[in-house]
Amino acid sequence: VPPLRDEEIAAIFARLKDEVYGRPPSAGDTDLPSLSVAREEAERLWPVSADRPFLWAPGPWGRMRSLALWPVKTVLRRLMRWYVEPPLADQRRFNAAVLRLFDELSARPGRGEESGPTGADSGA
Amino acid sequence: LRVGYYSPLPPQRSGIADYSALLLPALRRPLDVAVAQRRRFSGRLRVDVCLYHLGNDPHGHDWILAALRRRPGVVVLHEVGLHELVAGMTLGRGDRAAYLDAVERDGGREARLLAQGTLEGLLPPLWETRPLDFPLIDDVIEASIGVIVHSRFAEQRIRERGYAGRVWRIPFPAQAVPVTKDAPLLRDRFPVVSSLGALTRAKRIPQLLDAFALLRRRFPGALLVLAGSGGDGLQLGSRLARLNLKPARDVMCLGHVSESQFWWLLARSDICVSLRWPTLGETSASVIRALAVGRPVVVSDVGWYAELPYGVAARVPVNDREVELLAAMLDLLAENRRLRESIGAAAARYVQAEHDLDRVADAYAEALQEAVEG
Repeated sequence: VPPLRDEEIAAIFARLKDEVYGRPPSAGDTDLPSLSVAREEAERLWPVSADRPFLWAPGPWGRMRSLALWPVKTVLRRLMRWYVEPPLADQRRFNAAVLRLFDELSARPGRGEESGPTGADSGA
Repeated sequence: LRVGYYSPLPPQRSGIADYSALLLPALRRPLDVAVAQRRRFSGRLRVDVCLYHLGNDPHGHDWILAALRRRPGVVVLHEVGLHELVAGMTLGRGDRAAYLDAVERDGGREARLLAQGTLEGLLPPLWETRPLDFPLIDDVIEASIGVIVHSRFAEQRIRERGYAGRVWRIPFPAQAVPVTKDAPLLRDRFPVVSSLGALTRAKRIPQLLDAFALLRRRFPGALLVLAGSGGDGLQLGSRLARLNLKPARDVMCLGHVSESQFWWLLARSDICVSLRWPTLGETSASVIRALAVGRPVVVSDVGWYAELPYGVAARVPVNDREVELLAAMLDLLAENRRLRESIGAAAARYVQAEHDLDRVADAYAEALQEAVEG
């Protein structure tokens, strides 16, 4: 079978894009990210955890200090996990539920059609 | 022509260090190159021109920016926003005033107020949310005698800053594809979707996971491979649990992998995905590698990625339909082998034509010669 030409490939993807953009936004079953800065930030931050990456100040001195403290921080984190993690796990579940709710409400059909004079309900 | 070369180098782990490790041997053919080191004073290098590679890692580039300020030269801007570098060199050392001054020089009083909000914890960091609105590159390009970039997007951004000096657009060099050993691992899984390279926030891993969860409904044998350092902050475990994806069974998170493992994973992938937003005009080495291997690649339709021809890479706009379109593209590529093979073959041809290492080295030599001749 001969390979597809570049124009054919471009046409296939253009058709796919039109098809997807022509559908109504899918509600609920996916976690659609919104482009709004706040939604992006929420998406990034919802899985709160005490396991954060170790950071260090620039330069060799900052790196040395970080390396020296690394074992101490690692041990302390492990020792405190039993106490810190349970409420954080609850917080993650709550955050995920709020985001799902937000997305479901955003994608609810009919949103934005209510006020227009040619809205779906106007002739009923 | 004798050139002073300022760049992070291996064993430091960064894209620019890998870039220089690839470019330097080829550059030594047309040029006499003296490699500067962090501790060595740049004034000691007896060279005709200095070449400074700049990116956003304050650990790798602070000394290079300091050297540029001492002696102007040609700057290779791997990213057209250096906000994170400047923040690392000021805030990272506890100097809030210097950071606020730098932001105000770039964006005026309003920008300073926003930066103040960031420091008070009221706003997310500007280098994460608005890096191109406040790129903090004016001091750098004004100190340069010419700028080298890798994309039209980056060139346009620099011109928009009012820079009237020389700008050379030199493609990112491609590495020769090594022969990889075949191995039975992953052979029973289809499709294998991979996202390789550093797992940064800008790689949009959460969106990829959402799309992959949709793909698995039609292809239960699908496997997602995430490889690269920096995934600690992504909280992948929680994200996978939310999508009912099982670590190791549905998604393999490998962390940093060796060069040979990287190439092997690329060769074994059926589809490679490299999303990006926000973009700073950077070129992705992992995308170039995937194209060179002849894998179909799905990228975000932004920055340098948007300059890849349609026949070479599938592009997904970054908008509120991103996940749906990405899932549909993965689905289409998984079910259409002819499409996968056609894109892969076109991608390999494209890299051979556009990203040849020797041609890139020659372009550097010409640019540096022009810069010296004024």
